[in-house]
Amino acid sequence: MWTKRPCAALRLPLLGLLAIGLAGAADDGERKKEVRVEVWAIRATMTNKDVDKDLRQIAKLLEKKFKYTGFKVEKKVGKKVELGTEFTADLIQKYRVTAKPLGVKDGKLEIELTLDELVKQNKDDPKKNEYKVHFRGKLKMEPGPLLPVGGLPLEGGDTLIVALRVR
Amino acid sequence: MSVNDSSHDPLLDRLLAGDLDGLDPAEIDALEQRLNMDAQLAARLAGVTPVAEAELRNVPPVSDAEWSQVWQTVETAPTRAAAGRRILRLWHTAAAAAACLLLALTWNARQPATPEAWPVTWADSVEIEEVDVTDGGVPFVLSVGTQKSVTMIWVLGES
Repeated sequence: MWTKRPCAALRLPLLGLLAIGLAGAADDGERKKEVRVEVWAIRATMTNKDVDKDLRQIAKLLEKKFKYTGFKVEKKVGKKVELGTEFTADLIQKYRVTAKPLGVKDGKLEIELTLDELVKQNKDDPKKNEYKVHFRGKLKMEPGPLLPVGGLPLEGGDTLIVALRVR
Repeated sequence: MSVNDSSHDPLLDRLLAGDLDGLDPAEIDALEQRLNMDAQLAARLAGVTPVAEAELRNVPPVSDAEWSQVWQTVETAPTRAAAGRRILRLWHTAAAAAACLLLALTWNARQPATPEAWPVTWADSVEIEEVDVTDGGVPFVLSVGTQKSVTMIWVLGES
């Protein structure tokens, strides 16, 4: 009787379901430790008055505090990383960002953020490139909103604002 | 020995009654010997109709209507069985297809969904545990705005 023994056509899908179930169970354990990190490279300038739609809120506030009139998102980078794992990406000009989520405490994410700039390039071995650290901090931030870190000089008198968010 | 006399012979009685299966080999041998020795008895027995056969002849003949009913039953029986087998075969196929569908749905469910929208909001607080900036720079936390304040870190002195 087939009810006692599944027919051959059913064996493959059933085995597939079993494998997916096991993989899913293993995967869930891994996924819980992952954090999505996103970094925006924003150029603040006094040479124009163009403001990106997403930057209108901080543009109003920074215009009053500083003399910048134009705000533009030049680059967005992001990645889902496991806690304790570094995420590094090139931003604009020679700036580079490194973010390392460390853990979650009281609903806030503890993260190490480094903003550095390439000062000497080693063409033979990129690992031997030399960087100048502009900002390095260990921060605790709410997941979701963007945290701007600004004041980094760009060529032409503009300023780089790096906005970081995690979830 | 005549057939008429056989009524007194239990072996012949059983033979005439058609109880051939009830005779053991020794009894059969004995009967054969007697028939070989008694030609008259053998000739008379040859003309005797076995009881079972005689009784069958008394069975009323099957009518044409009864035959046609029998044949109809015989002809439709395989069709019904085949239909049953077809349904069983279809059931297996349907079950396999359902399992494949479930597999596909489960697989799709496991695929990373389209990244959900991440609305743009700005931090209104931050805790700084450690900070280090380049020489000449001064880091400070800036909170701007009244209703919707934004907290940011600024490195003063560089730019």
